[in-house]
Amino acid sequence: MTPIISVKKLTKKYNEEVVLRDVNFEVMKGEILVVLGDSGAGKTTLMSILAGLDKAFEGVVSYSDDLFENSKVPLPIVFQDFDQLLPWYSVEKNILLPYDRKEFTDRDREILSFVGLDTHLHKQPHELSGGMKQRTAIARSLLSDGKVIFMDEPFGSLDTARRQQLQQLIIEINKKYVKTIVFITHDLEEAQLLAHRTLVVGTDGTVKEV
Amino acid sequence: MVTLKWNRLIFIGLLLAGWQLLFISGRYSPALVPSLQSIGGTFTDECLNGQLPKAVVYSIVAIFKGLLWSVAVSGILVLIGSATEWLDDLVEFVVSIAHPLPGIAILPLVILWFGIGEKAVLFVVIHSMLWPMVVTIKAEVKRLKNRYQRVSKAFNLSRFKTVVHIYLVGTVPGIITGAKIAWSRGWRAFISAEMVFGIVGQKSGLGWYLFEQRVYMNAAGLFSGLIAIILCGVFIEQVIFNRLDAWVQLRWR
Amino acid sequence: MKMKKLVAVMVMVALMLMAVGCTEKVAEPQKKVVIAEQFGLAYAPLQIMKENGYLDKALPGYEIEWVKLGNTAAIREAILADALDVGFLGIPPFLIGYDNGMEWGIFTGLSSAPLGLVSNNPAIQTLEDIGRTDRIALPQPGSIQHILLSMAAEKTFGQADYFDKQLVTMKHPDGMNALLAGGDISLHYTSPPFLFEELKEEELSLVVDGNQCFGGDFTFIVGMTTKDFKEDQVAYDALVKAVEEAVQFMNENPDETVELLSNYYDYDKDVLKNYVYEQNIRYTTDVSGVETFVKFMVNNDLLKESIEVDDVLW
Repeated sequence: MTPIISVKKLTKKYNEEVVLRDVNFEVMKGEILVVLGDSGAGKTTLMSILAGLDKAFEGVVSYSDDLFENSKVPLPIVFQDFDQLLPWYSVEKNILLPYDRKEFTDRDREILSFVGLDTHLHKQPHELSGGMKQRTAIARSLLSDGKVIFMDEPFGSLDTARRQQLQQLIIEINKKYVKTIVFITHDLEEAQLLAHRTLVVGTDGTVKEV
Repeated sequence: MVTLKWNRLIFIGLLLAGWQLLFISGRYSPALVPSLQSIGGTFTDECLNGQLPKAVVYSIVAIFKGLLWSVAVSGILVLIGSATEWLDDLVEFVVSIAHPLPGIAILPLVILWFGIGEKAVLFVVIHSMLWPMVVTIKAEVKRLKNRYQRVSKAFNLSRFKTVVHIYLVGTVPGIITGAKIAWSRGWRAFISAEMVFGIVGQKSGLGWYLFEQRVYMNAAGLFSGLIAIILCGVFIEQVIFNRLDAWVQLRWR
Repeated sequence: MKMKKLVAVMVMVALMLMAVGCTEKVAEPQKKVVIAEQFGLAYAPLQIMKENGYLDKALPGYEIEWVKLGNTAAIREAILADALDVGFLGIPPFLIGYDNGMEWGIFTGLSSAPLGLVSNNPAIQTLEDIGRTDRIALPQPGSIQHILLSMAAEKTFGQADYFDKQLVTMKHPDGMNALLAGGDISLHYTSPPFLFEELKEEELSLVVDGNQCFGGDFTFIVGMTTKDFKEDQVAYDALVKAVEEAVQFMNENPDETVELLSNYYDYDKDVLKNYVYEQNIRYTTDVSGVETFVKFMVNNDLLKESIEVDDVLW
């Protein structure tokens, strides 16, 4: 397995408070890396830095060369809440918004089908269930054709049945499309189900692999 | 349609009955309390001979003009305010001074600048509509920023895309709400301005209509004018704006 | 349940009506005369009457209350609301009130004065020179100024409402300012003292005066009282006498008059004297011109019915 993102001596402070302390690890290509930790521990901060959203840190975050064949920073993120979709646009428009193309390509349609959205393209978010909304966000990330996708507790607001369906979807996406997925959760069971490797972010700001 | 609740109808019925009783009692001169027949008759006559409809149409068009101007100017002000914090503060300051000023109060000043006539009244109308609109739109833009800035940053949306797809399209419900408030403000300002200052032009609106009825002591005509104002106001605010608002709320949230 | 609601609503409405109906004048222990006070040299006898207390002396048991009202319409409304007994105004607005069922009558004249249409545009010398975009300021539609203008319009163009779409309602001081400012207003139909002030200005000129419009002399301001007030013979007679005394005083004592009036009008005493005595204002209790006004207004649908002079002149 080759590293696709390397983190060396990463330290992040908010004002004087240390949120991440001297963090070192690598994200391996093709894996699902789960980042565990209690609320407020700094998981989201870590993700923002890795995805390229937050550039104010000490230390080095390096990316493999081929990562930016199709992507640019920031790397796609799927968030937990439903405000990540624009309520006045349809599923189709929401998914296409970050991209330059005006219509779905064949490859796009394949992805949409895989994710289970093909009959929902013209609906608006308020007409969708929570699970469908998250699928929309996932599809949006997938269309970037990048190699890494970040997910920040994406299934936290869903009921058990849907959560399980979507967890399965993640596993399949990881296999079929060979996407590296960095997945944040505070749910141990979810971590166990999905992870190839797990990192734990402690409240003291350290990150350890378990 | 305006909800036809029974208690509302009964209330109106009692009010009319009470009015007619008052008239019959002779307690007040017919110049103050005309009979329902004379009010009804005058109202019908004035509708048929075109006086009321003309005044109504003129009033609505005038305020609609004011609304378009207000939306445009609010857009510009909000844009200016979004540039830097200093400018935003300036816009807020201007709004806080201008908002409490009733349109009528500045009419004498306005007449000095614009002379008598349509321009002066339009300015007053715009003034009464602009500030609530700016406040509403600014609040809406702020709300949108708080909610959707994260998506914009996370997906690196271009400035153009962010402005058009998030702010422009997203503010539409805010504009409708703002327009609703602005409309009622503008309506009142327009009628009051014409009544208080009795400005006559080639055409004129409901305010002037009321003024004329007053100087010619035409009480039935006065009440007809009031009825027209109420009907218009209810129709536009309830039927048009509420419906529009509901439709937009459905699709935008 | 619906029945209860209905009863509640009915009770509410009934209470409201009772509250409205119960605004009877609280029976006052002292009798009262409410007079509308107005500003303008044509009303000067009122100021003299007030200053010299003629009415107070004649009616010792009464409370004399002077109220300030904004315009003619306000006077009419005050009378309808039983809040006014005596007022002074031009003949046309009085006729309109009478025509609409107001129970009042003319008890005296007050003054006959020059009125006129003043222009700030030297190109406008006669009525025919007035273009469609020239705006005319006057106190309000239905005022004596409006009627005089309409009379002139009828004589000149055969159409009384010829200028009706060019009118702008403005109080005299505002009209004068607008005329002097030379903005949208080209003409101002006005009365003393504004008329005199305006004609002093070089760039302003008289287009037509009131007597030309009317075709003769007429009383500018008349005094009226309500029918109810007339029933009180003592008060009514005292009022008539008080006005006569005031007019007499003015005509016989010019210097004292100017002294008293200078409390109310902010002019130099010489200017004031000139305005009051040397500019053709006549203070008299005679009334003239009613028939002509009635005829004109009936012909032009400003009055619904013709009015007999004897009905309104007491």
